[in-house]
Amino acid sequence: MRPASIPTIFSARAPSPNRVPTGLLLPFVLCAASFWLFPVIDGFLLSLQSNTLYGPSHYVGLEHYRALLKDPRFLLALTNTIVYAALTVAVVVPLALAMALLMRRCFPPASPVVRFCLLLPGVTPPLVLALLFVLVFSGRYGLLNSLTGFLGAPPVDWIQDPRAIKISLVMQATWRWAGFIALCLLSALEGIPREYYDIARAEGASPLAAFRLITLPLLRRVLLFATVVLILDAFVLFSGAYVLLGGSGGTSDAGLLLITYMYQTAFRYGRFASAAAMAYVCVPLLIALIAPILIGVSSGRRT
Amino acid sequence: MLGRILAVSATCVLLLCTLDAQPGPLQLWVTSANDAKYYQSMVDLYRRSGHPKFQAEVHAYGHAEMPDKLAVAIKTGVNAPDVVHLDEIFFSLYLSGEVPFVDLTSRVRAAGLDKKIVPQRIHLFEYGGRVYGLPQSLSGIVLYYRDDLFSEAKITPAQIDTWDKFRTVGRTVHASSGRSLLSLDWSYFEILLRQRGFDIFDNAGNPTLDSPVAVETLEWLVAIAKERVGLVPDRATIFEPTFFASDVANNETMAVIGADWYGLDMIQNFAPSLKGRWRAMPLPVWTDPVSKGRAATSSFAGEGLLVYKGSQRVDDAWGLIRFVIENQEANVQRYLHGNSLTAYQPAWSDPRLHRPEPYFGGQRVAELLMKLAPQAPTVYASPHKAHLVSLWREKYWSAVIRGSIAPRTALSEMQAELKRGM
Repeated sequence: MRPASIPTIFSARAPSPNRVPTGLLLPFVLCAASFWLFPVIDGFLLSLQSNTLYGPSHYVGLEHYRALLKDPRFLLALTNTIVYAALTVAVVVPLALAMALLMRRCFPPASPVVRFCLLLPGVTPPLVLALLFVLVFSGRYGLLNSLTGFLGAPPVDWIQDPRAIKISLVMQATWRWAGFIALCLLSALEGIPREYYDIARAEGASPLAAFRLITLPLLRRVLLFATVVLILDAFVLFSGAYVLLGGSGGTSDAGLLLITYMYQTAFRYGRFASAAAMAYVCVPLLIALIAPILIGVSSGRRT
Repeated sequence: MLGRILAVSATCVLLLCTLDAQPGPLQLWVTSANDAKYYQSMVDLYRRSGHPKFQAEVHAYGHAEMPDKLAVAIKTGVNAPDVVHLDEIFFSLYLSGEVPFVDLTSRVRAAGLDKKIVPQRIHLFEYGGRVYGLPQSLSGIVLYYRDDLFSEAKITPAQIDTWDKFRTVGRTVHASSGRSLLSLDWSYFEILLRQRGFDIFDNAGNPTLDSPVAVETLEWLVAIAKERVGLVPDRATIFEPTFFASDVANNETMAVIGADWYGLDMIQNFAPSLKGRWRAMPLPVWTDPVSKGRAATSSFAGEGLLVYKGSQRVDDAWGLIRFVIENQEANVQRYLHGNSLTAYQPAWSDPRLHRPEPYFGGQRVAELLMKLAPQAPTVYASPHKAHLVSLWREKYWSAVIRGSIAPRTALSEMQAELKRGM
């Protein structure tokens, strides 16, 4: 029974059950409007203005959007970003899954220490990670070349060689995300009842069949979550590419991502309005990439 | 009663207006902690020199971060500084439309600074016939070399006084010791082009990258890299701390081309253990028929002091700038604290600028720079400079020097991209 003296928030009368949570949400809604919605609208309006750094700008309509379609560097940045996202997903997700399975099977006693270590790259600020990776990748005397040199491999210029730049970016993303995603997958794995595997074994299913028919379907939602996180990261990753490639696309634009091209356009070429237009072009692209995954998750939930 | 309320309200409004009309301390933005320390001491010195009420706050941001912050402040009109210590490359970002800096031309002329500062340097922050800023350094270019490594290889500066001789000696050094005579950097292209009497922009600020001499200069750089006379550092630049930690520390760098601030600031700060082993010499000269004159120096980059147009304290800002540029102690302190040599010629008579430099084995480096100053080329501002430098340094330099793209193609592509953005 609810005591009569419980204080109410907005009036002396007892509120209806729905009004209290709505009221409690109000500060968040106001903050979101101030720091998210208004900048979003302002950014869109900026994209319709001339590229004027100082003094009055004038309305140019969709001119910057049309110019993007003719800009070969924008198309290259878009291609690079999609390739980078695909490579990151292709490397990180299977690796994280393998790590999670291995941990569950082989290292239960060391689990807390391993979990902490896995979480560490995920909680380290990306800028710090990027600075560390500068030392890892840095030329002949970098950590990576020292290791590969020990194995007899010739040094690779991980940051300057256009053939190696994307690999460096993917390695950096792998180091950052693999542990965190493995941890998420490990949690999901621990939520799968052992009985499922016992029954499968009793039915004569091989370990591979059990993995394919039990583990993978039950991890589906976490795997899709990981994919969404990695795709978003590929589109918004800034500090990693900024530190590693000096805010540029690197040699021959091999590492030019959308976010770095946006930065260059705004701050190196002084074209804020064009950069804003670029940001808005990314919205339908991201929706097109992520919506099918989210629809897949919700349909999976229903089934 | 109502009258009293109105009177009190009016007084309060007036008081608030008065408070609002009095601007706070002058805001000065710089790009390094070293500069912040210097300018703070200059503010104190200025205050002691007859301006006891002068107030200024010095804010240091990163070399690349400060221009970003400035662009946002200028674009939004919020929290912009009164005075900014800006690199000439970033200055070019603001030349496409209305320039957000105060036109200082008449003040500069009235103070006679256009004659007292090395004349070529005045053009650094000049655009459309108007001077928007004053350069802080001479930015004279010399060849810094490792005296111990040169002695080991039995090379004297006289043996490499032309680029042809330099290349020949470089081949011999590489053949005998495996070392490269020169560590290469993206900045050398424009430095060498200017030394030959040409530039990457014409007087009007239009790009001239596809000129035959530009192509030839870049091809020369690629050729010495192929012959291993020139060595591409690990991060393809001599401006990264990692260059000093690897190439320089491992004695792979025998010489670099750099401005006064490169030797006085960067080399000394990043390689303190090599004290006494570095020397400076004039650049080898070009002897081909195309190159104009026989300049043994060049010019590259440099920062200057500019006043934001929206500042409410333009006169105060100009007062501080003029003091920093003209005051003898201000100029000497800038040199002594290992930063750069002033372009303000009257200050050059100070004996402290002629002292033997222990880091350079007792060599009088400033004297060499002063001697070469009349030969320094003029550098013109262009609205496309930031775009070009960004493209060249980040996208094309490594590709060209590694042979992935031909110099002529790279320069044509850059020229086309700049024209597309014009």
